[in-house]
Amino acid sequence: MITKHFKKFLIIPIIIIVLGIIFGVINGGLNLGIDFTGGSIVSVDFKGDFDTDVVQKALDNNGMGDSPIVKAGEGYTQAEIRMRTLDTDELQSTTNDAILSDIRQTYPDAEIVSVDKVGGVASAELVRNAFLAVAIACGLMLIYIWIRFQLYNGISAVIMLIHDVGIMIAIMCILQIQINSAFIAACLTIIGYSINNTIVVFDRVRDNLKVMGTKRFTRAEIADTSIKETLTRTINTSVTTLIMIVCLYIFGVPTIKEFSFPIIVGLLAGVYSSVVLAAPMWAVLADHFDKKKKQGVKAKAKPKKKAAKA
Amino acid sequence: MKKRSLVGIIVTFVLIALLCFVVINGFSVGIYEVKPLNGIQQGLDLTGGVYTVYQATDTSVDKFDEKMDGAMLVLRDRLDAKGFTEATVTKQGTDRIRVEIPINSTSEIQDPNEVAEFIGTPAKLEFVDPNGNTVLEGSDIASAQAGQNPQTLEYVVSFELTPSGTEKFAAATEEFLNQTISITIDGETISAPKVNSVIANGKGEITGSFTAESAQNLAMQIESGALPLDLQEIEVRSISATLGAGALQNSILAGLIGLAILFLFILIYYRLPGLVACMALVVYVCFVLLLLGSVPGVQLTLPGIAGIILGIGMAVDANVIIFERFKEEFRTGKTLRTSFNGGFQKAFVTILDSNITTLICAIVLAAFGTGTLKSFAYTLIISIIVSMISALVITRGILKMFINLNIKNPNVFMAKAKQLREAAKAAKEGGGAQ
Repeated sequence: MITKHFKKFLIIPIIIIVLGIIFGVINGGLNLGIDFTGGSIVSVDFKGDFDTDVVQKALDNNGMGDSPIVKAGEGYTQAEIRMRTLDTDELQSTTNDAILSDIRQTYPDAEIVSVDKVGGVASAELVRNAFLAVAIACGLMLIYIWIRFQLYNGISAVIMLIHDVGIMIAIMCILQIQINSAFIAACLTIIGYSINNTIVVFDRVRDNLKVMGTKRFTRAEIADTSIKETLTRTINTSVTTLIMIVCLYIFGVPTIKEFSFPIIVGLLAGVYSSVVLAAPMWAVLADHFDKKKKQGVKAKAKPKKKAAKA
Repeated sequence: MKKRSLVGIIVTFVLIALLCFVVINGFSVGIYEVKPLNGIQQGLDLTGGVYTVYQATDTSVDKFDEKMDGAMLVLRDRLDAKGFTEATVTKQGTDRIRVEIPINSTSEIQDPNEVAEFIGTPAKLEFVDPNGNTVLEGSDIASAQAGQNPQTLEYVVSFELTPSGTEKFAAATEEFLNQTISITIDGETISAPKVNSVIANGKGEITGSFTAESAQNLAMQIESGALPLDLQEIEVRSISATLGAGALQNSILAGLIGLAILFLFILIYYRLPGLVACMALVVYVCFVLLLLGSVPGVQLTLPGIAGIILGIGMAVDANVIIFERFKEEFRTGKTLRTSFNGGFQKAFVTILDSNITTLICAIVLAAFGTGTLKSFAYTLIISIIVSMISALVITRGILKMFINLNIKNPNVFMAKAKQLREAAKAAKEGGGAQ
């Protein structure tokens, strides 16, 4: 059933990813946070103890509510606010002044002591490094799956990973939610989790290949049976993980929310891909290349006959 | 058998309760100490630390920007080597580097200056011949390790050269046989050994009144390479948690609520095996927390918490796979015991393959990743291994004991078990009649 409609199931992810690209082009890519783009660190001296809530309110009033605040210095009498880069230096300094005057309503002695421009924590080098590490990991996983299963399983497993992370990035592009270095961790979490789901389905396919055999049943039928048999397990496991992560999202502080939301998206994408895409893709790939192989054999066989006739 | 299993179950319950107590409160026996829960090293995002700003002393050098980037990478490597994988390195302005390091009451190194000095030392290593020419540099060294000379018991830094370094060193030792080649670090001579023989294998040792710690530090510095720029420390200040106060308690609370709902779900859905799964999960969480407290270089951070949650998801998964297989076997009309054994065997392969695949991913990330990526990977590796053991050993062991109790009503083990059994019987008889 599922394998027959494989192409239809592909439509949803393709639409999401295409939408992601369109929104990405319109909005100029992902909404990168200070971890990636850098920004400025504004140090405010309070000359005494202070409450970060006051600073937070001042930031909220000026549209900079997403800037992390830390206390610093001897006795924690200073606040360091990490703000994203604003379009012009002028805007930057008026915003800083507006924030300061808001703070001064509560703490009249407060003063901006320094404004430093800083680069991103997640430098291009770091992101490149993460990509490289994931690429190597994918390669090795592909080899392991190839050894334990078939090459087609490995290929479709890696494609599923790309799908899951692709959906995550696309959704972030569409919703323009700010992403920081925690997003990298979220992507890695999904890669680890989703490969697990896919392997469980493939394991069942491997079992059923032995029990059912490709002589009596088509690969599509084997894939469908395997999906049906693992469905309860896939749903239950995903529900349990979702429970954990949704709790984090509901009860967590904003930064935790920023991190758990993409994981929720990735989890759902992972369930979708491992249930309706992974096994059918294996069946389609294996059938396709099998046919080609057979055709190749036939094609080789034909010229011989012709030669015999001649 | 029945009595023994009952005793076994009670003992297991007590042991698990004891384990929880130890994890929460910590304990120490002689030299062995188990750190309590709040002893886990926490990252910058959760508890704060210090930041240091370095200023490049000479901005007029060639390719300054490139060298700044290079220096940032070297700092990153050194922080990772010291176990501060959660530290952040950012460029401030054009000629300053800001390093934030999670040093707080939970870290082993308490003096921030110690770390700041370690990472900020140029560590420019040179081998100088008697004529004052440099024959080898730090970049010729492929790897360096601290060790102890077995005869003199002196602490040394042993090194292995790159292929081109090996050639240069062989040529130099041949040319200056029976003369001295001095080894300098940042222009200061730390030892001037006499060349006794031609060294062609590219291996050697640096001696020079090291302590165990200074040898270790030098080895790490050499491995990470010399800083391409001279940096001057201009500011060291403490900062509070970047996630804001209460983020940790908040996440722990969220985790506990999640865990409670999860337990309820498993209990309702899987009944007695569900209870066993909950016990296995408690053991899993305890062990992960214990290991997090004792493995160096592992810090509890936001991504780390994610790793643990992912691990909980996977630990549940292994249990779910076992129980589903168990149910399937039972459906074919087998007894509880045989379907449990059969189901477990089949589930074992699945669990092994799925976990090893994830483990490959985690190991690669630990090996090639930097900073946060590394600590995430460590947490994930710990989680995967512990979750596998908890499912394969603990779930299996406890469930086996429960089955040995010979509980008459199979409904305790799964919903509608009696109907399933009758259906299986009917199917068998039907099959027999055909």
